[in-house]
Amino acid sequence: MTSNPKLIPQQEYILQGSINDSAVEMLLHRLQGLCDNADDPTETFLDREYIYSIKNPSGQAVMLRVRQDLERKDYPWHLRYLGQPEIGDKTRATLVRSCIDVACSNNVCKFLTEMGFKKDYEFYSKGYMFKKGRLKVIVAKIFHVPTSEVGQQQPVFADSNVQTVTQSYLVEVSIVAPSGSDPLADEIKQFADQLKPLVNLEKIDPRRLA
Amino acid sequence: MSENLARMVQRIDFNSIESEEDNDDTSETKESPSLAAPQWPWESARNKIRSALTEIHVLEDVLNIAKEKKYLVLDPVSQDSVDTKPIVSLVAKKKAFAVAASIIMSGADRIKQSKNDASRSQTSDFHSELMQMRQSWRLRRAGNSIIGDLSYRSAGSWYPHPGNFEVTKNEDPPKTQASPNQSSNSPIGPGPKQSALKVKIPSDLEGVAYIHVCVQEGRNELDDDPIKPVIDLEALSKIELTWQQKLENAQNVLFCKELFAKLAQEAVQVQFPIPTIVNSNVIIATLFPGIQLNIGLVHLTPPKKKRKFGKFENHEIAEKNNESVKFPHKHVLEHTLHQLLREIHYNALHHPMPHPTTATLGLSRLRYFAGPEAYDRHVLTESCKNETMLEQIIAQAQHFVLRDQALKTIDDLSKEIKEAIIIVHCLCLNSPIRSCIKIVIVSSGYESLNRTPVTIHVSSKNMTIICREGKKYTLHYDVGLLRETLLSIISHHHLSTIQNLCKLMGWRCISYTSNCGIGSIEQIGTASSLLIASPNDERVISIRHGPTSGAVVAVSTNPRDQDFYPSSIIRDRKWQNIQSNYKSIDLTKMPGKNLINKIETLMSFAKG
Repeated sequence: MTSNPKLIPQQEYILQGSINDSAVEMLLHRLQGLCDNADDPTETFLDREYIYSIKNPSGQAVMLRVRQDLERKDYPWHLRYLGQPEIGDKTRATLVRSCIDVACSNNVCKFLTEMGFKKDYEFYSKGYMFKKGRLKVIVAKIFHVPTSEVGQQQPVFADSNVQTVTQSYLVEVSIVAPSGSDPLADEIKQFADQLKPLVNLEKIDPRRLA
Repeated sequence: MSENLARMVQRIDFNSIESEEDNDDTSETKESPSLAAPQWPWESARNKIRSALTEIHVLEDVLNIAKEKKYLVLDPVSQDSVDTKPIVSLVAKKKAFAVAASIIMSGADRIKQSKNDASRSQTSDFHSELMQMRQSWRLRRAGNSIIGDLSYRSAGSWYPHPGNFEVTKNEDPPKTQASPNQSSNSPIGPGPKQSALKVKIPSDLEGVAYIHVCVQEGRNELDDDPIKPVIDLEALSKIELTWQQKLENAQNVLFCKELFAKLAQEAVQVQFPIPTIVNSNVIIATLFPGIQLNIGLVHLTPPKKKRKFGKFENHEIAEKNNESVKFPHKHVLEHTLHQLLREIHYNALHHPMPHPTTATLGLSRLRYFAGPEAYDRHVLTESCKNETMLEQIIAQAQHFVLRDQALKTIDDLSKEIKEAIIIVHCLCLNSPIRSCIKIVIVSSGYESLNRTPVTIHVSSKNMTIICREGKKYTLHYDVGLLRETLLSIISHHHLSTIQNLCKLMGWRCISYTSNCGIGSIEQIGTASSLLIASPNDERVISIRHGPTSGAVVAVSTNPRDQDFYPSSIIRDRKWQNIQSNYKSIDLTKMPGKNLINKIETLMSFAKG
């Protein structure tokens, strides 16, 4: 992965925010107008994400995320490593974190378990996706499906057995790019400013939330 | 401090008051020199204040007397001049007001009128038209000017031309006074006469352009300009265009330029079996030997603006054009080129969305699947192969030429062949590089007896002929081969029709050879032969049919007499079945519409 840092996108520039369920319709309208291909119907998705972790010898936990598209079963699964987010100073417009993306086959979970990873938790993400140039905008709602029985292997995502986590949608604007492309951060910031009255996209450090 | 105060007091000028006091009470003034001796610094000030106090007392008394009105009545002094003055001032004021009012009124009128004028013709129209323009064009402000964008960049183009135009206010005086009313009546689109907007288009985007595509048959000199523009420049210069039309034209010019630039770039980069030639504004690609495709950029500017050398040239081309149009412009191929470029633009913007959402944006589906699906090198290299626009247009042009030639060949053949009827049907469901021609061969009058269906698949470089029995011939672009193959199929059709006729008439088919080795050698293909016998075996008809030589018919008799007299040579009755010699029949002298008809006649005679 580190052999040719110029070719492989390694940094994710991201801004996050949230919007109430009642106002999400307006946000979607605005996004459709702002983003590419406004004439096409909005792209929807339903993903399931598993978070696996392993402790390396120094005692630090390494987390890997496995994402699966539930609507398009034939698509490959996606394995992702996210580094520690860097807030940076005020001059930096977005959160930056290193990331490694790999498309993989659907037995990746088994592979990770064999390697010694343990599944921490999982969640479902359902929402809308937009694109503007290299910008990816995701408006998604996080769901949790309780597994009642241990033996049950695959809980089905249905209206009856999902639990919403919050009364709001998660909004993410991100670009994956080679490190050092700071102008992109400003691009994200400009885009985020256009959504300003509806949703405030900020640099959110998950460590502080915890 | 006190000294300073004293100095200030000294400055106070009491002289005027003193002078009055001098007249009033002289006794005091006379005393004053004695008192005036500066005993202490406030002396003079005290004196002044005392005298002032006295005066105030007097004044108070006078006022009291006047107020009580017992002793004194104060009457206002009436003066004539005072009476006349208010009227004069009133008149003066009235006049002044009238003048001011008239100034304001005239000013208001002027503003109103200018506003009306403006709404009718220029100023407000400028804004409303600008708003209309904004609805269909991208505009932005740069300093004091308004710059618009003609380019296809927002639609996915990467052509480096800036494609800017400038919008200014039309300062030209209106041509007629009546025109403003007219233009205000038309809310949609700018008035045809006078528009408040003026667009300034880059000089290289002026005029009219299109991509001329033609197929040239026969090898001409390369320097012979194959592109013949079909635009009347004189008519073009006369047309007054609105800004919308002007901008559309300019955008079209830009599009054509981009298209041609892309084609020219491909023509240089891509290695074709027969290299393409880019000659100034023409790309020449060889489709088949002797047939070439010319793609040219025709860009004509109105002749009134001809100042440069290049534009004179255009004019000359137009003059040449009037003489003759050698190779007609293929609108279908031009349209295809436009479509191809638009598809490229579309693909530049429409990437598949990543799924799941964290997946990398902008990867093609195939590349994304490559890892998990473990695609091998072959699949990956195949996926990287991207047919260029020029390759696609050449393939389409080749197909276009080949299909035309095939149809022409079939048409000629059906005109030429009187013996059989060739029914041609082109399927409407086809693709730009693949089409299908269905042929049914029947004999006139015997349609229900035998039908020979043939299907021809025409692709860009070869043709495939599929016969009923499953025979498949793959031919290259040579239509002569198609003709020959069809001729031999027709030849076979005749014999199979006769075979069917035999069954109908009760005759017997003794032998059938599709490639008989007897007789003169055919120029193409092989002749086939058929031997049929009458129901009572008395007559045998032999038919030989070749694709080029036609039919040769011979009849042999086989008399079966009731009596048999054995002789020294023929001892057994069976030898009587030996046929006599064949007698050739001159078909041209026989009555009948076609070969089948003649054979039928022959059969009916032979039967008897």
